[in-house]
Order: sequence, then structure tokens, then C-alpha cells
Amino acid sequence: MENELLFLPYGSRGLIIKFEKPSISQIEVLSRSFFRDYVARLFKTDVQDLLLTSDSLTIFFKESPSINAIKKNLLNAYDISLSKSIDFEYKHWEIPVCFENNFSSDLLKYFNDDESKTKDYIKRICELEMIVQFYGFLPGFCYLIGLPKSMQLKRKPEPNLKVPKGSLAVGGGYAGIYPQNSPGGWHLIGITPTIFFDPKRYPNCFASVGDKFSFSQISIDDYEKALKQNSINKLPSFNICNVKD
Amino acid sequence: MSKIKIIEPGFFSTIQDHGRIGFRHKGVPLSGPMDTKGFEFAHKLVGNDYQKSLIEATLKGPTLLIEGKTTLAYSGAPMDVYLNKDKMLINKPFECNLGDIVRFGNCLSGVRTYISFRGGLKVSSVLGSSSYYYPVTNKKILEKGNEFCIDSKSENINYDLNDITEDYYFKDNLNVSKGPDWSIIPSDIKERLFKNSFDIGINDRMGYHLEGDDKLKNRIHLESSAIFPGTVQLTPKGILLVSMADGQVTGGYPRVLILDKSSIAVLAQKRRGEKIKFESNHLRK
Repeated sequence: MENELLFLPYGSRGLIIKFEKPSISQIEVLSRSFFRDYVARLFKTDVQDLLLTSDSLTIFFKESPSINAIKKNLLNAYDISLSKSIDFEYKHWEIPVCFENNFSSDLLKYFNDDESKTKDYIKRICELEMIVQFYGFLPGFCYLIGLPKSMQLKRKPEPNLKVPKGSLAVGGGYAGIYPQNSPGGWHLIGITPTIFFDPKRYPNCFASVGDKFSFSQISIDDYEKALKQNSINKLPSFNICNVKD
Repeated sequence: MSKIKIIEPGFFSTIQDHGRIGFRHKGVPLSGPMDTKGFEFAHKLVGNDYQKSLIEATLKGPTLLIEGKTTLAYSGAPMDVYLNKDKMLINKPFECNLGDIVRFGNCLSGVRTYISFRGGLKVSSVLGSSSYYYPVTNKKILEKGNEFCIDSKSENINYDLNDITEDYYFKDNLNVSKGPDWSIIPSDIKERLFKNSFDIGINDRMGYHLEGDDKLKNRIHLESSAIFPGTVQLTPKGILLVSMADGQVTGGYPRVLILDKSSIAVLAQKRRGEKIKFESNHLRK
């Protein structure tokens, strides 16, 4: 596994730790997430926030850090997180998704109205296990990796101004679920009644970086029924797993 | 307890405090005031600490019914402001009583006006902040009929008010330092960033577009990474995006420059069509 880290200051209080490559496997995502937690504990109250993305960890300090003084600690923390390569616990979530009607219209358009290709794509995405690589873009928006090359869809040239809340979409090598109504340039392939961000719920976002998602197909009736029940904010079902399993 | 009631909300008025700190890793932007200088001035004038909540008005301010004795002040962009029939000046606190009407009119220059009340407005906090950011908060903007209590019991701080000025944003040069992706930018683009002046394009609380030229077009490809307010990203089409208070926590374009705090305040008072230039003490070639 990689070992090189690049340290880039970001303004006076930010420090970007750049990894050699974007994470591509669940184990890499989990070990970087472990690294993030380790760094958070290392600096405790000196840190305001830490943001992990595909190829970097950005630390927001409360005061300007002395990068040279903390470099050694960070490298050491990284070595520890790399050596802890097994025994990560994670949750495997089953996300109900409705692929009917106009919820998958972008996909049908992408395949030039070829219904069998569209159906095949939906069948294949329901067989995938996708990994939460990071949160970004909108509150509760997770970037999901694990799409095989043949299922990656180039982003739309013009964004859709009104992507509905709950839309499952694919953009490039990523899949993601829009946690709120928003403009967006990804192809819409389905919709879920699951709430991905709720400021009043603990936790606000149920999935952690490194968790797995599977999609299970539901009917439009089930989707609408679940929407009505969402006042109780039901979480999707999950299994607790271990990378050793 | 004193209260205010929103009679007319104005064009785009929000509640702001210091912002939502520590939730970027869930995708939640910082929020808080666009122009921190105007925000701090308004709070100082009435003796508030900067944790307090106030109204950020945009281009046209609200009309308020005052229900109980209170002291208020406004700062940032000047507006035509009337307490009943009397004109009220910017950066001069004034007292209001039960039944008074305070009318904030149009911005005379700049964009954003900060209206602070002695003690601060009582607004429910979501993830550690009262700043409006929909849908993290239920509300997006002030609406007719909204009421807020004023926390009149809080401590009155004696500030030195000598540094409060009206002209802090009357400049076209924004002071910048290098962004984390500066080193991967071709040198001709680096030079242009300081040689050109840029027209302000579309803008809102998320960010400002600065219209570039064809020579800033590029094919730099990066993975999405952290963005904080004041960061200037360069798009492939050569447009500069300046992230502001409600800006997304991540972005995929090279982060070429970072505005300092007072330059963010200056930019927050600029309108579409105005021009700005970048300057830097460290990066000058």
C-alpha cells in the first residue's frame, strides 16, 4: 500500500494531507477513516473539523498550526493506520430504491430509449455493493464508489436544475443520493424514501465513511407509503460486518 | 421581554450568527455573515459579543415593528432607514420603544446591511448555529409575521468604536494569498490572475462568479477536495468561483487563491458588473 503523504497548507489554519492516490477499495477508505479519527484524537480541541475526501484529509485548526512540528506525529499516525489493515467494523445498509416511471428517465435517455439496456443497468446496480468514500457537496450527500467501468456514465453537459430529494444518481465513477432538492449534473436512475440528512436526528447522517450500501428495488406504492411514514424517520436496515468476514 | 415583528421581510433577509462550525465532514457549510466586518461593527455598536444573532439584509431591508424598549444599530451597506418619521444614520445606535416602526429601505451602495439589537435576537440553534441555511434550518429567509424576542439580559460590552468606518469596502483590490493548488497552475495563468481585472458575475450567499477570459481556460483535473469560504477556484472554462459563507464544503476545481478576511467582506458588498483586481504582497511577480 501507498506510503507517501504530501502536506499542503490551506490558508492560515488549514492543512491538507494529500494521499498518493484516490482510495479505491473499502479497506483503503476504512484505514483513511481510521487515520482521520486518530488525527482528531491526537489534536483534540485544537481541531475544528476534519474533512476526508477521495485523495486528501483536510484538517481545520483553531489556530495556525506549525506544520513542521506536527509532521512527525501525522506520519506516525498514518503508519499506525496502515499497519491496522484488518479488523475494521462497518455497517452494510440496504437502501430501498424505486426505479419505476420517471425516476429512471435519465437512464432511459442515456440508453436512447432502449428499455432492455435500462432494465439491465438497474438489475446490475442492485447487485452491486457500493462504499461510502466521503461526504461533500450537500449536507448528507455521500460519494459512493464501486461502479465498474462499464456502468460509469459521463456527467450531463447541462445540469438538471431540479433534482428531487432522494434521487439516486450516477456521475462519472460515482453514485450518490441527493439528500435534498438541488440542482445537479448527474444521471437520475431511481429514488429512495430514506432520509440521508436530518439535523434533529442522532446521528444526522446514519452512514459512516467506509460503510457499504446495497440497493433493493421497491415499487412506487412502497416508495409513496414509506414517504408518508418518514415522519418517524425510519433508518434503513443494516448488518454489522467486519472486513475479515 | 422586548420583541420585534417582521412587517415586511425585505428582498432577502436572513438571521446570522458566527456560523455552523465543525459539520463540514457531514457536508454542512459554515454559513454565518457574508461580510464579517459589517456584522462585527453592528454587534459592537450595541455592545454585543459576536456569538449573538442579527439580521443580514440584502439590497432592500425589512420593516420592523418594535414591541418593547430596545437599542439597535445597523452597519455594512448604508440604507435609507426611518424610525417612524425620523431618518436614522448608519453606525449610530438608536433607541426604540413599544409600537415604533423601523423601515429599512434600499441599499445606497454595497449589498448587505447588518441590523443588530442590544442583547441579540433569540433564535433556535441548529447544529450549534442560528444562521439560516435551508434545509438544515427550516427557514430560508425572514417572512412577514415572524417574531423574535430580544435577549436584553445579556452582558453589555464596552468596545472601542473608533475603528468603525463606512468606507471599508470602497476598494476594488482584493488581497489574496496562494491557494493549495497554486503550484500546478501554468505560469501564464498565474500572471493573468494579477494582471487582469475581473467582472463580477452571478453571485449569492454560496459564492461569487468572476468572469475571466479565454486565456484562463485550462484542462487541470483534480479530485474533489475541501473548500472553505474565501477560496478562489478556477474552472476549465476560465471562470473564477469564489466560495462564500454558504459555499459547498467540497469542490473539484483547482484552488488557486485565497482571499483574506477583510477582502471577503469587500467582495460581499460588490454587485454584478462591478470590477475587482487581485493583489498580493507575497505572490507579486
